[in-house]
Amino acid sequence: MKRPAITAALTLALLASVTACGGAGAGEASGDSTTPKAGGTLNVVRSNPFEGFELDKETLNSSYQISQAVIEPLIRTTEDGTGLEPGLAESWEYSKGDTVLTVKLDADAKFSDGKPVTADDVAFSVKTWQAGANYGATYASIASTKVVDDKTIEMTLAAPDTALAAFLSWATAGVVPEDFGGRTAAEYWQKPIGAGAFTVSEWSANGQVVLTKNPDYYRDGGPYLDKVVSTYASDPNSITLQMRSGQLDMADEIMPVTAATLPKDQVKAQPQHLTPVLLMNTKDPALADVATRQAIAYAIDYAAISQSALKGYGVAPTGALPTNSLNWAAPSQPYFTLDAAKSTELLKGQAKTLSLVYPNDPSSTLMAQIIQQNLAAVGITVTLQSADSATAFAAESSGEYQLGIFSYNAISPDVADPAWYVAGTSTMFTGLPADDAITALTDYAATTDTAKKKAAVTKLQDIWFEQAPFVALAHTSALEGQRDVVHDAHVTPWGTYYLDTVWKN
Amino acid sequence: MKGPKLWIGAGVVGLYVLAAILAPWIAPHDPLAQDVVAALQGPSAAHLLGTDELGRDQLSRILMAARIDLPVAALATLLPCLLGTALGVICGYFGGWFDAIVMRISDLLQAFPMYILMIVLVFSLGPGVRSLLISFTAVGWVVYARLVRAEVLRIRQTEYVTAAITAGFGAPRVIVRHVLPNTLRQTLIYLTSDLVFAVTALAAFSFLGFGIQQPTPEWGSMIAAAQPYITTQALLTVVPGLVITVLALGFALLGDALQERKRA
Repeated sequence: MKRPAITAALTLALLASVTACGGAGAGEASGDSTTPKAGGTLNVVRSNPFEGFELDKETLNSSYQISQAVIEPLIRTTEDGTGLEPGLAESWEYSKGDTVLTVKLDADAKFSDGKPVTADDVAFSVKTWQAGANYGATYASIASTKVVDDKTIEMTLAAPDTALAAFLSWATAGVVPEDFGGRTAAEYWQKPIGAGAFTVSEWSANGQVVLTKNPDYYRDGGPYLDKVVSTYASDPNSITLQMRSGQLDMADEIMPVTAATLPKDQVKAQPQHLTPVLLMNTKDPALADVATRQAIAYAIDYAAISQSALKGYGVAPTGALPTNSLNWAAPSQPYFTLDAAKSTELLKGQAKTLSLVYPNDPSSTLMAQIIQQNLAAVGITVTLQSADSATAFAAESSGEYQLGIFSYNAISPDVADPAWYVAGTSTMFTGLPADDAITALTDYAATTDTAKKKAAVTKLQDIWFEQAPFVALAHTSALEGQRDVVHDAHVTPWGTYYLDTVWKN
Repeated sequence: MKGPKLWIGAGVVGLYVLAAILAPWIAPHDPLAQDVVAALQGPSAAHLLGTDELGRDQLSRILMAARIDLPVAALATLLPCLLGTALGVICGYFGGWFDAIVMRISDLLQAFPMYILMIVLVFSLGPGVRSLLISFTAVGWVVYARLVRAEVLRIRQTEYVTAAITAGFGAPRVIVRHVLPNTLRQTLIYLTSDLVFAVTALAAFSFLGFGIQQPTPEWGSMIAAAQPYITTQALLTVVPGLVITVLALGFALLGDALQERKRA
């Protein structure tokens, strides 16, 4: 009785494989993971709310991710996020001592209403970016624009700024139609029209954002997906269960604790710009002495932070700036490592009591407890003050703290991006004067020579190492939950990806 | 049924009190000692209930948490009880404008959902034991005041109180010697059931991040910290949850038994 059963099973298996081969040959759904397949809906969860399409008001990756798919920026970044590549701008070129940037637009670039993207649209967009209260300063180096022809625009810079091209790849540099297409700004931001791969069907901050394929998209191939449905869920368990059950295709920006509960093959990790740091308020009398700050930095167990708080998705820091950024260079001396003896020596027997404010997410909570124990070992008593992320940020950004856990990020490939953030925020809210850092950054922007740029970065790293206003706690990984039906979602080091390349089978 | 309820309730509560007293001696490890290499381990001979996300021994933390949760829960019940009883006695015995004002304030407080009011108070005062106790007292006195006031109004009409007043005893003596002792039984019964609320509310506040902060071991904050691991290390949330449930059950049984004794 066994033989017929085995034979039948083998026959069925053979038939199944033959059918599968035949299907593939006919060009139908195949499971082939190399040939993009058009169609389908991508169900993705975001861990943060969507702040709306008004570019200057966006502060979260969850917002950049969605808005850049609709209002595409002028320049794109490479798949690995370490370089720039043509997008709406077919080419760009510096001239006149890096004081003029000439941008040529892609001949096929169109908005989703079918109208071509012109140099006038870009000129209007530049004015819109510059008018923004949050990001306006980033584009302040553009002194004027000149429309050369329909597809060419010249940007005259107030001073040489070779980092500007990178800032034109930010999601905040989305190209909008001139005069918002005849609508008021408020009407436009509510339902924008852009030259991105998708159009807006519906959106809400804490609910669904539904994007639909833009049939007029200018790039060859994509978009492949018919629709993208983004939902918001902050609970790690909910994300894990939805991923496991197949309700979700992707989970954006998952926390290390969430990644630790997903099957390994559903977690895509790559070194990212997001850098957790311990801020030390240099204006506080207890931390005014640089030796105390260095002592704290030498007391921290960076390996424990990577292993426990980041669940292995991080490595010990090698400098204050994120490593995988364009033109990154190491400090001229080895960065802080755990050295309790050196820490004790720097403290000179002084016992201190300090408070540490931190956002109450799982990773920061673990980091705070590890730091508390590390500092206790060298005679510093730390009182923990947890707060929701907004309250913790308010305390830190207003200088109302002693120690603080914070994470800073870049949203473009160039190392100047995170460095300017540090320098432009009073050395990341620590109160250390940033004059030397700004001089180094100005030197950086004034040259196209890579060696000179790297020398300027080393100078920055050295300033922030020697003065220790803050200490990087780890170089972390951007984590994305992704089922194997999803392909070509290339997550950048700042945690976003272009939706036009993504496809499902 | 009176017997078993009383003995089981008292037994459970007694066991927790004993665990709290003996915790420093019976806890197998330092509850604050981190060992990240041994993080999130399941039960083993070295760690009977496993380890948490920082490699701390879960059993030791649960035992040491009893030294925080029990006294704070007791104080969170006792302070409103004392305030409410004092106000209830004064209102019930003397009446007048003071009684009217206190009762209107209590009406006002009862009109708000209790948890919301407490969360607002703790949020504005900042997390920690002090804020919790202020919040529990500011909201919890109302029931005690109403309960005691009603009892005092009844007792004040009794012949022995009338006799004491007629004999020329002063109000303080009448209250302390004749009125207050007769309200205690009812108050104590309510206090026992109020402990159930205090234990669960305390855990809830810590779970929400308003109560006792990490790394201090506390059952509610332990559940909150273990929440991200519920799908992989369920014991980290289940055990502290059970510990809270069993203690609340112990207090509930005790309260029930006392209530039944009063009826009998």
